[in-house]
Parts: sequence; structure tokens; C-alpha cells
Amino acid sequence: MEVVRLSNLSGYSIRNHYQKAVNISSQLYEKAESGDQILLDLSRMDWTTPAFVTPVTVAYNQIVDQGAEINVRLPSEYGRQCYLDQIGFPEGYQEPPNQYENHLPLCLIDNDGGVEIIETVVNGLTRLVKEWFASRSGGNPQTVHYPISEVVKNIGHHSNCDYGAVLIQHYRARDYLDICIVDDGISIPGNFEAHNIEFHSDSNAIKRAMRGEESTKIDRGSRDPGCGLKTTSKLVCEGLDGQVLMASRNGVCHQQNGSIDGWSVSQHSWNGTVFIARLNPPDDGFQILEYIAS
Amino acid sequence: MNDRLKVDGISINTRRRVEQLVEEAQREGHSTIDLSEVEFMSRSVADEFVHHKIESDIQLCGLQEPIRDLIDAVEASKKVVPN
Repeated sequence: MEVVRLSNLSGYSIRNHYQKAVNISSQLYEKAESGDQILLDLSRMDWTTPAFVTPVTVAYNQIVDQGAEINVRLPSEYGRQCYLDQIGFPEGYQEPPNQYENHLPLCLIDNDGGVEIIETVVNGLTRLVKEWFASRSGGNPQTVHYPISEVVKNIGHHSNCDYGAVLIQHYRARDYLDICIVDDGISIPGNFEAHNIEFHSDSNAIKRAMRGEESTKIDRGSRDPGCGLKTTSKLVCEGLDGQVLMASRNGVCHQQNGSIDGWSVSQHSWNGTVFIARLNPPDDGFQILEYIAS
Repeated sequence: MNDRLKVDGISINTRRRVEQLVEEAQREGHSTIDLSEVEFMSRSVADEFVHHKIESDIQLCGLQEPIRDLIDAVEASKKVVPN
């Protein structure tokens, strides 16, 4: 039996959790080639976030559907085991249950998902955001709902994926919300190439997409110019003091505190696109219209 | 045409849903869509409503303040003067 062992996963860094996810996923793909059973050992997982479990779920489903057998050794701690079970890890749900107060479980996306998956995810987001803001002393829930719904509505639009997943998690004690959307589709650089848009590296392509410098969106002519990613990134990172991390093919970009840090990865690339955001609630006096109207 | 079509649910999530609502309103002879229950919509949904206000002569009523602000912002960005 081949073993893929998570050495350690703790803390709250979306960057660190994503890097661990792509590392584990790469090992799963590599071990699957041997044809032996695989043990995915998560016993040393202290904590997890959507940035880790969502990419691993997509990799798991791809590999299992190709005929490999993957057994999962869950974390030792009972609470972690229950959480992974609730969110549906590692298989995910075609129709996620709507019963949990602070997360929308792993919701699978495929090429046939279309409008139904968007409705499922946005309705789940709506429920979580309403519950979040109901427990706070104020604030406009639209400030959090808007940027995420802008990104979610594009699920499947660019990607043409075979496998994908979404997970939304509200951390009540920490007062923020994480979302991760993963697909194995065409990728941002691949999409730029298909539309003859030049770029000098995959991370450069991602950065330009996040800044709204290029859009490959063709939707009802000029009525939807495809600035959803730019608006979301700006609103989340500048308006809500949050973070966005995007990975696609050989590039990764992490936006925080008004700047975008981009780098290339050769060993642990992602064949598709990963979008991760961490949203804080708005400060008093925050005006969402400044971002929507631009 | 008179009366209104009241939308159930607190969010409208896709352009396609807006199309369905407009088709339903026209089929049933309503000139107005009542969005008083709606608390969340995306920019593209607001854009679709603005489009139909012009093309289909559909009016909107009962807008909650964040929704009205969003639709007004989308209209302003298109430099459209509503009827």
C-alpha cells in the first residue's frame, strides 16, 4: 500500500493550507500511477480550512474515478473527524444538506452543473451570511454576499471542468468567512491562450485577471464586461481587509493589504483554477457602492 | 397590464432567473415585479433587471434600500435614464 501522509496542518494561513493541499494532491496523483491501494493519512491534522480540503477533494474524486482506491485515515481528534464527516470530505455532495449553521458542505461541480449548482451555492451563502450578521451588532450583509456571489455565478462559465468543488465556512469565533472554489478546467492562462491574450507567465495572467486588465467573458455582448473578479478582489482585500489567493496552472497570486504577490510553481502546479477568499465583516461606515459603481 | 408579480425568496442568483420572472410577469399580465422580499442579488442580476426595464417595459417595486442602491448604481454606470 502506498502512503500519502500529511506531516502537519495547523494555523489559519490560507497560503500555507493551499500549499499543503497541492502538495498532498501531487503525491496522490503520483502514487495512483503505481496501481496500488493508497492510504491518505490525515492523522496529524490539527486544523483545516477550505483552502486545504477543497483541492484535495477534487484530486480524490479524479483519482478514484480513474479506478484507484484511496483509504483515508482521519485525524485523531474526534471533533476534526466529525467536521470532515459533516462537510462530506473526501467525496463531497452532489446535493449538499442545508442543515449546518456555519458551513455549506463540499458541493461538487461538474460540466453539467450549470444554473442548479449556482443556485445551491448562492442560497447556501445567503443563509450563512444572514446568520452571521444576525449575530453581530450591525453591518450590511450585502457587503460580504455580493463579492462571493459575483465569483460563484461564474462557476463553470470559463472553466468547462470535469471535476470541481466549493466549500464555504464561517468561523464564528474568529468572525470571518472562508470560501474555496476549485476546478480542473481550462485554467486562466489556458483561457488567455485560447483568446490570443499575451502574458509573460502564468502568475502574470492571474494577476491581470484579478486586476481586471483582461477579460475572456463573452456574455450577451457588452452587457456583462466580466469585471466580477476585479470587483471581488478589490472589495474583499481593500474594502474588507481580507485576502484572495488564486492558483491556476503554474502560477499563484495572493492579494492582501492592497498588494498582489505572484509566483510561479513548477513542481506543484494545479491543472485548473483555485479561488480562495477570506472575508472579514465591514467596518462601520463602509460603503459597498464605491466598489460596485466602479 | 396591471397588478404585480411578487417574488418569493430573499435572493435572486442568476440572469436566467430574472428572465424567468419577466416571462412569468408578461404571461400573467403583470406590469410590475415586486422585489420586497429580496435582500441579495449580484450585479449581473441587477443588470438584467435594468435591461428588462428598458426592453420589456417592466417596472420594479418594493425595493429594499441595498437592492435599490445596487440597481441605481448599475443604471448610472450604463448612463440609462429610467422611465
